[in-house]
Amino acid sequence: MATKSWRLSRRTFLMGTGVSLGLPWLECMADETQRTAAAHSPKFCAMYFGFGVSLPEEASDDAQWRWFPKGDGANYQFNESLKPLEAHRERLTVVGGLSHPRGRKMGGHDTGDTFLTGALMNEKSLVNTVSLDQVIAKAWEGQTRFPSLVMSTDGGVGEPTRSSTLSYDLQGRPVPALNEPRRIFERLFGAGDAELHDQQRRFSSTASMLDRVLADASSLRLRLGHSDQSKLDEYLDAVRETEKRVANSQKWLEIPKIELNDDERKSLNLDSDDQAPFRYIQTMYDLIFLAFRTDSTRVATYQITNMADASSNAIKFPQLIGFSENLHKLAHNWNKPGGAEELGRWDRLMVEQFANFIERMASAKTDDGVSNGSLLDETVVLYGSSNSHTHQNTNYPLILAGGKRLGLRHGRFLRFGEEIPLSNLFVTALNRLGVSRDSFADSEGEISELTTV
Amino acid sequence: MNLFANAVRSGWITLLLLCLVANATLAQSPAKHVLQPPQDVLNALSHHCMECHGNDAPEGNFSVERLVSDSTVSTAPEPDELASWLRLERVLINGQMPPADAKPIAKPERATLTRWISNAITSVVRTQKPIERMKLRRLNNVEYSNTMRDLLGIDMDFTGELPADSRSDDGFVNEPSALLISSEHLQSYLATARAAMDRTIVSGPAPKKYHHTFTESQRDRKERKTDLTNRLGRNSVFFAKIEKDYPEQGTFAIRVKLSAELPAHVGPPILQIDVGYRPDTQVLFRTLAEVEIKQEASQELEFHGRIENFPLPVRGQGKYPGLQIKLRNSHDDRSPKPEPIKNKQPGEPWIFPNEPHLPKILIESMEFRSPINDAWPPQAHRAILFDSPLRESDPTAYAEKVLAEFVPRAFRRPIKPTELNLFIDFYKENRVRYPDLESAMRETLAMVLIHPDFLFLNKTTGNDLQPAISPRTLDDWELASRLSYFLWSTIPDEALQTAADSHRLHDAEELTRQVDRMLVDHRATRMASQFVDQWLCLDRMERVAINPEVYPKFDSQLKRDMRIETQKYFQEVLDQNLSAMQLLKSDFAMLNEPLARHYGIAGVLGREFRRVVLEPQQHRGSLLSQASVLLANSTGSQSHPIRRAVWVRDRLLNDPPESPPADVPSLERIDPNFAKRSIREQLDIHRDTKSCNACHRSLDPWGFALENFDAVGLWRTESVNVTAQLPSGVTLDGFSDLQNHLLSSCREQFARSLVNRLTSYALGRKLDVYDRPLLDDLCESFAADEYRLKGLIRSIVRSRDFQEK
Repeated sequence: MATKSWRLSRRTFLMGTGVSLGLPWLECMADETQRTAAAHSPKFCAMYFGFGVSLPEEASDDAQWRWFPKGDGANYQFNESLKPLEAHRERLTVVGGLSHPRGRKMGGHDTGDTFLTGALMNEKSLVNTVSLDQVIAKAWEGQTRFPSLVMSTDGGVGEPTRSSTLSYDLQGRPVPALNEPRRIFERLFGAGDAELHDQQRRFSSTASMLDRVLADASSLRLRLGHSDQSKLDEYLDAVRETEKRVANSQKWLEIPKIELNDDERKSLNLDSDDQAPFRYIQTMYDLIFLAFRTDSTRVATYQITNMADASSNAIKFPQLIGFSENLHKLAHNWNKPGGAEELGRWDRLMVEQFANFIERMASAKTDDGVSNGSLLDETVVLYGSSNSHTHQNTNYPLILAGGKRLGLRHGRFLRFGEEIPLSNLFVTALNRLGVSRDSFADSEGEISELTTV
Repeated sequence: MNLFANAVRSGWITLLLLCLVANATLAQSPAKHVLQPPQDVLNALSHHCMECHGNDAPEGNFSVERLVSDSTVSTAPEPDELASWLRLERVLINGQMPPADAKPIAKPERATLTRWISNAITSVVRTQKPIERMKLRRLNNVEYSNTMRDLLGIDMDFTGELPADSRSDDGFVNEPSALLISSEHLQSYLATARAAMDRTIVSGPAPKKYHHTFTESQRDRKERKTDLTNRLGRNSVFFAKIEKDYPEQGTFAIRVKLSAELPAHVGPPILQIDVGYRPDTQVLFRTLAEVEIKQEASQELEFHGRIENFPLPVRGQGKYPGLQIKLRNSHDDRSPKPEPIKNKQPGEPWIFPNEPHLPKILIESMEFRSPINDAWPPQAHRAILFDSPLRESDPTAYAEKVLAEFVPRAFRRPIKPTELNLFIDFYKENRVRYPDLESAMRETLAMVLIHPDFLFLNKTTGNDLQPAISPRTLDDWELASRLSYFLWSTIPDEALQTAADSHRLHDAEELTRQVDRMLVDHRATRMASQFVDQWLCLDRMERVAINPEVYPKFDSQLKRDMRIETQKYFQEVLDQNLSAMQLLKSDFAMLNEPLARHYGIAGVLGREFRRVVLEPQQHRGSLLSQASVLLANSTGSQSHPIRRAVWVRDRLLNDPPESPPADVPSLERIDPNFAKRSIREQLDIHRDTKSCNACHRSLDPWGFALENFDAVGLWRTESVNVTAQLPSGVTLDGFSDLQNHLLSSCREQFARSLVNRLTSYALGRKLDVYDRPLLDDLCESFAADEYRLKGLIRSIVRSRDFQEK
């Protein structure tokens, strides 16, 4: 999309005024797409952890380590694990009872792949379907510099039923997750090529290059055997998707990336890795926050831990901070003596990180002179697991936060029956986000309780 | 995948059996085969199996009665019968059936049964030849990196932007289905190709030269707590900073003139060179080199790098401008460090104890130079954009010639002139867009590097106009590629290309000559290290956190050495052409100083790995006693007999136990104090529980025998119960018994397992029932050749499966 010459580039404007950030967009700087971006724009992020939570019986001695709160409705009380969220009570809903019905037919550790997809993966078919975040990313394609930010602690895609990503594209193929903070940072906020002219030239060269490769490779397809054809299709789809992304990047070329302020830069621990779990998890949350704050993308997923056990780097997280067992064992021990508290303490540490994120999102004001709101108010945040306690694919521990401006109502612990598929919540989320859908996966409707008091 | 995920996945084994048969596309139309058991086999099956596995509500929904009554076995498309026979064979061989509480089956009778089933299955699959087994797949990240390096002749981080590779369910990183290619990949390939081209092909005049010499370590007022000096012990640094006058791009050399102090009975000092730094991202330095200094006399050493591979400050930004170079001595004997003393003079650096028992490096001078003295344009540039008068007289014809040279190398095959048009057209378009030939060519070559012919292996060549109906013999270039990716994880070198060009590779003698030549090349270490890593699941070590409360002195750097030990051990057996049985038991270990110190073996000085001859009481000299394997299969606090047992059964014997059942009973109900008992006691209770016992009685003993070693692989001095009885009645009393048992009773099984895994690595797919004839042949020649790995590799390469698509 060509920018008319009389339009000021934002950077030119900023340099002239000597003011760094936080300026409102001026009409003359924005074309149609950017105007949408400048106004309140809905956002979505999902965070996942594997193996479920500590769930001692409500009447047991360990009841205070039960992840789900006591009571229900607006008059619920947090137990120990969720206490860090006390300050954010009115900003979130604790959701109990939901799960993916198809997930109940799957192995106890197999449901991480389908947390955001609701698909059935079993002996007959290890094929997944599109994930919630990617439906949203597709609907909003082109509105931001990056369609989505897909992250996990392990990175890549893992293996079927031991996925290391939450996100699946429209064909149900896994979207590789990023896991190195420094690289994610470079991608979001790095300088890129110096000269605009060079970049433009490169973009048109890329478009032509991909076009030619696509045509050439497609002609090869018919000569291949069946299984090789599907592998080549993977490649061809990758080329097509890249073409779209390049076209999108080109559109964003003249719009400078929004720069971070010094405090934001300083607070980032870009050298963190899986050897220091909470420093790392915090950094990943920070990156989601900064991506949203700068409107670099409006869709993010982060698989914090997963259920891949011996092939996951996150499996050792509890041990690295002084727990005696790895995550899998910790989760399995929840009903052993002392196990509920042990796992509960871990649950609580995880929730602390999540609470920090909520805090930061809520503190970022998006005052546009019309309404007083925060980044959190325009973001639907989902946090949870696909096991209640380990191996159980029912009653997912879930927190739905933010999105007040989009019509979500909070401050309650809502308990649902098993007959309601989790996909219903996804449909509600989609419609609140303005991505109108009647259905998602195996949904049977919406969950009206989330939007009414 | 890894075996634990494997083991907990319910129904996985059955699934695999079904898949392996179902996934095979067969050349001919499905045939029916009659598997009619002879009377003695029928009698035995009926006597021992059918009481539970008859047609009427069979246990585990597995009816032996139906299997023998419907003796027709179709190989496809209904493979269930064959899968059932395979399953029956398996449970009989591993002794899982009949169960302990049933009539026992006499050894000869069991042997009769398994022999007949085994032969029958092989006879069925011999008549069928599946096609399309060598499937299209992309290069994995290691192969991609090697290929780029060898093709372009430059070194850089080629895979930093690429998502991590996934593993197959057998742990290998070369199975097509596990190697996804996504837009994320393609964007990374393109970005990497362009970055590589920017470095390879230069334009304009030679860059500015930089040259700095430092004879004294600089002082840094902020760094008073570091000993900045020319004499390097373990706490000191030789520090040099170039504030402005340094390059942003290109090659550089650091030349160090130094001498050393080498006290007796300690290893040599280690010079470590760090270059940096970039404060805003907190990734401060990268290490350029780490090298042992083994002579006291003065010497000069030179190290090369590319400046853009190091974290550099953004010019004009930040409080810490400038390129920084730090020389250290990373030798550390792990003795407690003395405290530095605060200097009474304000502003002066602290005083650091001398530690005379440790080796020192004395820096005489350090020189920074960029670019490295190379002709301009550099060699890598000239290898692609070669000198030619054509360049001036007819630039387009020159560009075509450049592409005609480069594309076949990148595609690893000759190409037809028409195929070249794709690139020539793009070049011409770019030549208008870009100011000079070089930039237009960079972009064109980047296109070559994202083309599927470059990124994919096992690609059908242009000649196959019809879908295949039978396996096709590879042409010479395909065979050259297959060979080089198997042994070197990279493109064929010139000698291999020449052999392919002259169509000599299908000559068995020539092929063997090439294999032998390639095996002694340094690139062959890639095969050994990657294969060993994937076969033995050594990466799992990275997922075990060592509990500092239990092992306060454990240094996580050791994990790297442990991994190398296992790779080097395999390499030694291969290089010295020893029997593969030495993997189970030998009189040597491959050690360096830190690892030898860990094991408590004296007299090994320095970081270099070398062959160390062992005494029996040192309890090493086997894969089984290596810290890598033992640590990977521990919890980080304790040893884990089950994991170790599963590892032995799966990785060494290719006989993984079945997954635990979904309805595992809570053992607390049996013993309320269960959680408080030792692992050994827990496992005893475990085995007394019927649903657990069926598998654990044949599993646990393998792990108990390794209880001699603790979580980090050290020999336990405290008394520990290491005795257990295998279902066969053999009692294993610890590590040494286990070694001997494996060598005497499991020799063939271990050999077959190794053959299976190495063949799987070579072919890039998990072997299935159709590979039995191949495996039989390979195992036979392996045994006849006294289990030498070189011979095995030659046989694999000579096999039809290796040479067919």
